[in-house]
Amino acid sequence: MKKIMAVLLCMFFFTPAVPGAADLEPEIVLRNGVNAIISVLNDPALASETRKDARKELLFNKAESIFDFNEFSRGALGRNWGRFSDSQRTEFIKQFSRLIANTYIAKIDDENFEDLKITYTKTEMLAATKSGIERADIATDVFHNKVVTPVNYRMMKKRGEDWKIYDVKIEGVSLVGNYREQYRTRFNDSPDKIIQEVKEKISQ
Amino acid sequence: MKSRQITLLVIVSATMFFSGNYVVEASDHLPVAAKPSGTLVGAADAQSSDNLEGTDELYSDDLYGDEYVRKPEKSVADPLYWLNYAMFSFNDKLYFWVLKPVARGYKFITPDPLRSGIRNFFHNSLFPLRFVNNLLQGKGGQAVSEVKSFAINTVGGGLGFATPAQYVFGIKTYNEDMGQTFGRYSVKEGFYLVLPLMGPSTLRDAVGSVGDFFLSPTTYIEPAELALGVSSLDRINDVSFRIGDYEALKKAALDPYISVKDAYIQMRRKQIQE
Repeated sequence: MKKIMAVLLCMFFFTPAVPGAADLEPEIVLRNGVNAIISVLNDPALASETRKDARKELLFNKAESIFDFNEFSRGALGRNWGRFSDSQRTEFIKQFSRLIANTYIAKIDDENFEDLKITYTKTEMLAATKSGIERADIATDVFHNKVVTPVNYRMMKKRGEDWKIYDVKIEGVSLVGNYREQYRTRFNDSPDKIIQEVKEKISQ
Repeated sequence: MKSRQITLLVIVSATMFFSGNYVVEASDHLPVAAKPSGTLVGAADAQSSDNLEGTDELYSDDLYGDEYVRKPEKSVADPLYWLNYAMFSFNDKLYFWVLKPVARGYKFITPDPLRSGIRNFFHNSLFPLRFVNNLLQGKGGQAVSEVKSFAINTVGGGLGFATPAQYVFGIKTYNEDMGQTFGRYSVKEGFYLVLPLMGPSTLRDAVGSVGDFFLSPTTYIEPAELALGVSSLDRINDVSFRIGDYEALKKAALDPYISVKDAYIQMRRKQIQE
């Protein structure tokens, strides 16, 4: 019996540390990006009421560096994208990224983030697109307020650029897909009307 | 009690019968949307592809391809739109006027460990539901985990208020219900439904929830008033953990009704896939 215990103990102690499943590049980029956001959230110097706007702006900048809001907007508009002129596209991207950021930043702003924990459960490289954009799916579990929420990030890397998030799936629900479904039947609305609608939504 | 259950069954089967023609109608335009294509034609419905033919190359980098192309039946028909919309508005008001304030008050007066305990207790009590559906889906390993978890948490966790099976032994539980079991056997959603109090559903899931009803211990509590009280506690306790989620979803949405519908459909498809 003792022998068996000893063998087991040896096995336990001398098992080579699982080689971190060789952390894949997109996962590292995501971790860094998310950690940067969390450190802003936890920064006591930015927590005061007077610095709220500064903090919001900082969060938006951090988000912008890992989210590809262009792809977000394009994916959300779906087939409607083709009806937008270049300037309308630029305007839509600007407003739409504000809408998304506002919603989520507002939500995290009035919550307590001390018990937030994120575990990275699985990173999977997906087939590249025809035009050679690399893609990855990164599964995480977010523990917050005693609730576990599975959050998957879709990331992509265009040639010569950094890895960026182009979709987020919360409990299997794709954010981009959800907007795309909302815009799917809007082929009779003019691009200006669609942009106006987003603007109104922001100011609500 | 018995007669109430039978009435419910009759209502559901009648709904299925009378709405049979909608199911056929809905599948009518599938072939159009199912056009095999490397781009996103599949994601658009028949109408919009008439309008916007020729814009596809814009998305030819198929970033979202694997999800949106190969599932031609992405959208679920909504033939009862007006009724569903009325129910949606009703549930929305119910949430803001009743559920949310009650859950808030409840959260304020109930210590966190107790709320967690109650949530664990209800989760544990739904063991029969998960066990049966894991078995029906041929997920033997998961069914065994369910038995272990139930045994350990019921005995060692004081009827499931604590979860030693999870935090000591790392055993997982698997939320499977009848709707997912139907889905597993390739039963399609049918059409979208918004149920009063219960929220978004589909024909398939609504039928499934009748089965779930019989596998839920709360169903067998007598008298009915007590059963109602217990179910309400379960619901309020559950909501108390999720205050703010619905608000955020609604705030971000341009069309909350469609956003909720799509979120529900996407979530269920993911659950069935797993």
